[in-house]
Amino acid sequence: MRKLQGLTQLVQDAVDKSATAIEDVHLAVANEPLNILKKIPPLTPAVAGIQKMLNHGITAVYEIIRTVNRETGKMVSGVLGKFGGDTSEADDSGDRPGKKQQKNTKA
Amino acid sequence: MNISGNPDPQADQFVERACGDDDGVLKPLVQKTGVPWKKRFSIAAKSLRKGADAGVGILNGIVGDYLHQQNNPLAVCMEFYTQGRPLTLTPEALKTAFPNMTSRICVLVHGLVCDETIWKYNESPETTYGSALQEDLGYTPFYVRYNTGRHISENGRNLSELMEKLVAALPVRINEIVFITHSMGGLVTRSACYYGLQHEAEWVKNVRKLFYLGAPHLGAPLEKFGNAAAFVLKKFPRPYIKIIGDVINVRSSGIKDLRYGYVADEDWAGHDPDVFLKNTKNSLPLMDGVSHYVITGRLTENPRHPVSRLFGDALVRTPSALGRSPHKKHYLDFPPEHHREYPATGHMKLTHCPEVYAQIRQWCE
Repeated sequence: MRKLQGLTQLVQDAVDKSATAIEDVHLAVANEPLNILKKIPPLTPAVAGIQKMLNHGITAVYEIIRTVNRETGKMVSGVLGKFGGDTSEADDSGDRPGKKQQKNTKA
Repeated sequence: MNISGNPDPQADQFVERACGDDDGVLKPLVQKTGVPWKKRFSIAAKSLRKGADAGVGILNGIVGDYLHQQNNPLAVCMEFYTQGRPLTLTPEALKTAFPNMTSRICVLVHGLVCDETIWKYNESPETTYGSALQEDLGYTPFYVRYNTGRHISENGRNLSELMEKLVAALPVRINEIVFITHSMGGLVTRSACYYGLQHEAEWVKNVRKLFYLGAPHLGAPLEKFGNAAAFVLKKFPRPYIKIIGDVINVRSSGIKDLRYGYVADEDWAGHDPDVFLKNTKNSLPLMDGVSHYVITGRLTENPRHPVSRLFGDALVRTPSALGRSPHKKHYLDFPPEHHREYPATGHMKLTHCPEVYAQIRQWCE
């Protein structure tokens, strides 16, 4: 059960970091034409406004993805915790007797 | 003593919970359908567990350093394993696990993204180099499992500590330790000897032979390619190409150490691991007073074939496995008579090849 918890944690981290990385790419790509248009003086103020809105929109979408991911992670962890019950104890003693050792090593 | 074994108490416990006669969750389904679910679940659970173990090994190889930093339960801790379970290092437990223990032990150290099951022969999974040496020459085998994504030097230090605990807990006095190592395991063992000597560990005094099966002492070309590819991709001015470079650079510290075969902290500490092909390795000669043996594979029958010269055993080239560096400080002095190369033998096959075992046995006699 601990391994499943670990997997949940890893998937959650992966989704979070991937969303952030893709968001950066998305922002960069979306801003490329606007950055060019912004250099044309009569369009500058209008493009700046559009760019601000667009960036807010993109960031909001990825923030939603990260939030849903976090909440899903919490939910799955909670379910696994309840479902695992006393098995986590058994798993701990069997699969990860070095947990304490690992912490010591890190320290 | 086999390393995998058939009994799997955790899988059995899970199946009992699901299909047990008394309080199994799926009891109504079992009764209603009359299908032998218990047997089917048992087979599925055991297969799943084996697959999960292999998956955890691969995951640790790729992002094991991250898992360790995050304290993720998937991070493997270095331990000796027997029958798929960690070995408790107390005299009583060791006496139970190895009732016929002798004064000679052999320690098997696997390579990147693997675990101790890599030593099992394909045709007879109960046999490994360790079990064969036990049967033929009386060596007691110990199989190490570790997080291959961590720095080689960190694993080396851990292995030294683990060996010290093992030797202290053994119920008999040891006078010979033999290491059989594969790929990254060879570097981890060299690192363990380095740290063992530094800390004047008892176990190092008993090391007699070290076998390196395809160990990339001078680095692995695939990792060099990974470094170069990521570096070039990150130089592109397009963000969607740069991100591919970032993804490649997510690979673990253990993999990055394989670029030049870093075995000590000083080799990597304080250096950017993603700099373009920069070797920051320090000189670390082979341990004195120990016989070092090298076994390599090559992809083709003909040793002069360009494929074998370029790719060696697919992952490690022969000059790297032999430590034949053009730079004097990195040159490893393996005696020519302590080297054997096997034609048409890939990198992974070196861990479970009867011909390789025959040579190891001959050198151990």
